[in-house]
Amino acid sequence: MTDGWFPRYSPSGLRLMRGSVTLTVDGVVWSGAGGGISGGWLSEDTLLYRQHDTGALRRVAAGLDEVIGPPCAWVAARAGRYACWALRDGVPVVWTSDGRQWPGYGGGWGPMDVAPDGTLVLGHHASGALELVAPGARVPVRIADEGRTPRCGASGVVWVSGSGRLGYADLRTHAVRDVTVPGESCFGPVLVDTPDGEWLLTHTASDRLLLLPLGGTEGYIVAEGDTRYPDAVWTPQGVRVAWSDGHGTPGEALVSLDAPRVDLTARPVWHVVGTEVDTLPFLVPSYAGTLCCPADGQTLQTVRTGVKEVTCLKGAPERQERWRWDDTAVYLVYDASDGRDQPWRVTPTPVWARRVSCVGDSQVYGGTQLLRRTATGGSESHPFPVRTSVYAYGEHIPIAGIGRCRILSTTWEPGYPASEYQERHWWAIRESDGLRLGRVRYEEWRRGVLERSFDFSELLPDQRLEPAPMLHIPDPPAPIPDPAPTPEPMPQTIQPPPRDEILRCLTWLRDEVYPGLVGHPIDDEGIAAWLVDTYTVDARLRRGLSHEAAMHHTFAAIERTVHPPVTPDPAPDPPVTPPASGGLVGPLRIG
Amino acid sequence: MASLFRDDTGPVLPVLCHAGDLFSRYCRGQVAEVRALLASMAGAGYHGVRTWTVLSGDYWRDREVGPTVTTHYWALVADFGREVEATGLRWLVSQGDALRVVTTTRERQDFATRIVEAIPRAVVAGVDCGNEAWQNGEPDPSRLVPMARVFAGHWPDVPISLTSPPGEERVDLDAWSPDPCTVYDIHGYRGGRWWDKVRHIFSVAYEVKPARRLGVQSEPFGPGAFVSASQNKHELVTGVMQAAAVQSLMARQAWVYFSGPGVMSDAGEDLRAMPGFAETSAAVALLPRDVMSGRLIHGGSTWAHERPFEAVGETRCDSVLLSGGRGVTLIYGPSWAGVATAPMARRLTVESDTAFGTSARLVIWRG
Repeated sequence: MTDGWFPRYSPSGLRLMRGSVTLTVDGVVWSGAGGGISGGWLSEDTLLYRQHDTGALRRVAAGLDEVIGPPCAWVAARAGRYACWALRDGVPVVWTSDGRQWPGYGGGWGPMDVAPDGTLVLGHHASGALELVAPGARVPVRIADEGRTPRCGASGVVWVSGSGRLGYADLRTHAVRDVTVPGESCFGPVLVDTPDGEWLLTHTASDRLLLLPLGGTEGYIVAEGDTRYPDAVWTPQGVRVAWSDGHGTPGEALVSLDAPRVDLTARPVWHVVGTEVDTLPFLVPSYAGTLCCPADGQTLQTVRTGVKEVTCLKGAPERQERWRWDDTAVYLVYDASDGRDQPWRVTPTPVWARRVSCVGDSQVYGGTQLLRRTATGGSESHPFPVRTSVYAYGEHIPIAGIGRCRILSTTWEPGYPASEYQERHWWAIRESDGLRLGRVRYEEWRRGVLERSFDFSELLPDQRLEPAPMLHIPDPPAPIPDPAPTPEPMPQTIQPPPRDEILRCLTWLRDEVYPGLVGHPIDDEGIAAWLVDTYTVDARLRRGLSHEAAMHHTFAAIERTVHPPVTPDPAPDPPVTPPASGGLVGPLRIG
Repeated sequence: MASLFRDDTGPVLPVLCHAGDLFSRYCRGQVAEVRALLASMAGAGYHGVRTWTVLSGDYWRDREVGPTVTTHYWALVADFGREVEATGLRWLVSQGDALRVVTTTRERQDFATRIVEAIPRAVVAGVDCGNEAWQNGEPDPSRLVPMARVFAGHWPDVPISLTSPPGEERVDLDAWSPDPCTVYDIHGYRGGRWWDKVRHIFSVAYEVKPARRLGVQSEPFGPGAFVSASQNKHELVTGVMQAAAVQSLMARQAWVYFSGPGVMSDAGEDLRAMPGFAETSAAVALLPRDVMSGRLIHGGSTWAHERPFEAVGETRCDSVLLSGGRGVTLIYGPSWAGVATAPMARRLTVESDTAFGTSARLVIWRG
């Protein structure tokens, strides 16, 4: 089924309708009058839908499909009542099954909802305000200055406003509160009435579909990725949840409220330089399917081709990268994916990343050569200095189309340092299920400017490709000296400076630079940690400075912190001249 | 600073009119008719005209023009340039079928040299090395670079392309716009429904991301019998053509209004009566002049936290986010008139909301 849009459960949760063009009920295409969109259940056995091609409001009950109302743009229904909206003489109008009307209300998708007791919550078109009409009443009461896509429960209503804030109001008291999941931008909220109270189903900007008690922070991740227009209902077996993705492909889940809950509020974290990270799980994916870049259709698929080898295929058996690892590091040993017919490798093979590495770890290779296979089976070589590094490591990072992930970013800098060119590769492990996806983003940087990037954010079904055999790339005839890699210092494996030098630095700082520094009311532990980072890690170990130079380096860092440079006011936006009333003035040019 | 189209007053949004055979008609003595059409284009607010310097082959029988078939050819090139300049217009100088006539690199360089000597820089809105050269005399873009370098050497900041590529893939657009090109050239998508066509214009800049930041839609879709390889041409009403032009400028592509008479202007259809001819430049004039400096987003969930309008179904809301909280959004699609969208957040102040018939709306807003 590809038209799984706009799912709606019946009150019991046993029945499910879907469809934006073709109405489907309980998985069966409705062969009635023709198509449906934005339906709702009047009762367990009676549904309403808007006929796609005419807009007519139709009712299906006891196998009978009939028109019951004039054309409308959208319908909400519950407990024997319904509400619709349509444009009349260019003005949106909401009306209900009992004949009440409200000109100037409605518009767009899902602008109103009906509660079981007949309360109507509807959006005012011009102002964007959200208003409530009590059962049988005619005068709307404003409950929010801005609100969209309201969804009612038995006693409350939720909606979205602004940049992903969720509001909730009690239908009787009209008391309003914010129920946004902390740290998230939320959309498409649904209230779920359970025996234990009201729950909230919401989609987030980090591509998670969450179910949690209203106002809570712990609950369940129902799904990750592209989930749209969700609906949910409590049943004795659990909460049934339905949605579709951006292509209309239906999704469904059953969530037991007895299952352990997880904290849903984790914020993204990027770890500091020096943080240890095990790179192998990132660089060797477990995902057997295909990652696709929606922008241009590029694909990546990783296949195990050896005990300690994987091959990344880029859309064809011949377009491949081969990766190998040993106990210490991961290596790119063969590349036939740059669009040219002749594959290449670098010799001696540089470390792509140490297996046990840290943020900021890097290796520089000044004497390496790139060998490219020729059309006749030989090879040609040229100098190929390169630097590799672990650029970043983060957790709880939202990746569009995939979900929250742990992210490792590595760099590959051919021609280092003269080229000023850097490739950044972003490798992901999805946190919800530990799926090792491999590369999800690729960036090209030149002189500090991002030139282009590709996001492999679409997961496609497994389309197994078998890698073509590697082509032999012979070594060049002349012996190539074996340059030892010159890795930059890694804090964990190099002895720190002598303790007495560190103490002399602290004493100097305390007594001569900032008397009373150690006795400062600010956290001593924080000051000590900062000094270790600046003096020991950065100055002494990473930069290789002497004790005296390191002290001056530390002092300069303190100075910058205490007396930051004055940031000039940002340049005002250039004035935008009004549209030209006539032709061009002077030559048309690019500049 | 990002590159933009500019004139002496600052950033501009070039919108031109296609009249491919106009120079041919001028060379064949139809001076009065040509002057009238140029005056109509200027009166309709276009910045310039795209017309071909060389036409050859069976399709153009009795309409051929070129250095080997036209007496006093180079004098006529200079004269036509003066005619264009007299109306306040500019000339997007397309070499048409030249690559079939001048076939060696040296000949092409000489041809380009004569062009730059005949036409003053101030008249030139842009230049290419041929029209659809990949099927019209030169399938190898690298062989056109020497010719392009002649243009670039004399007109260093002119919008210059080799030609339009066979498709809209990045590999094609980049292959056909190497240095010294300053823009990519594209003959826009003409398939699907009218909203598919308009969406494709946006997608070139948003998804395909050619290496050249700026482009020229030199022969996009358009109404009229002589616009070939088009689907659902009956849908190309005025509002659609306005929406297309606006979308093109939002997506950093100069727009050339294209139509059947824009191919052959004396074959039965009147250019001035074509849908959108008179209304296109006024629609483009609604846009802020720095719209090409902004950032493109659409109304889908990818941009849920930034989109000023939400896309629903096939109704699209493509936006450009500008400095100072400003922005523009084009809302278009098959049923947008029945889906009255409101801003996603009341923080937006709508400064203008202009309907292009029943096809689209252009909303200029400030946050």
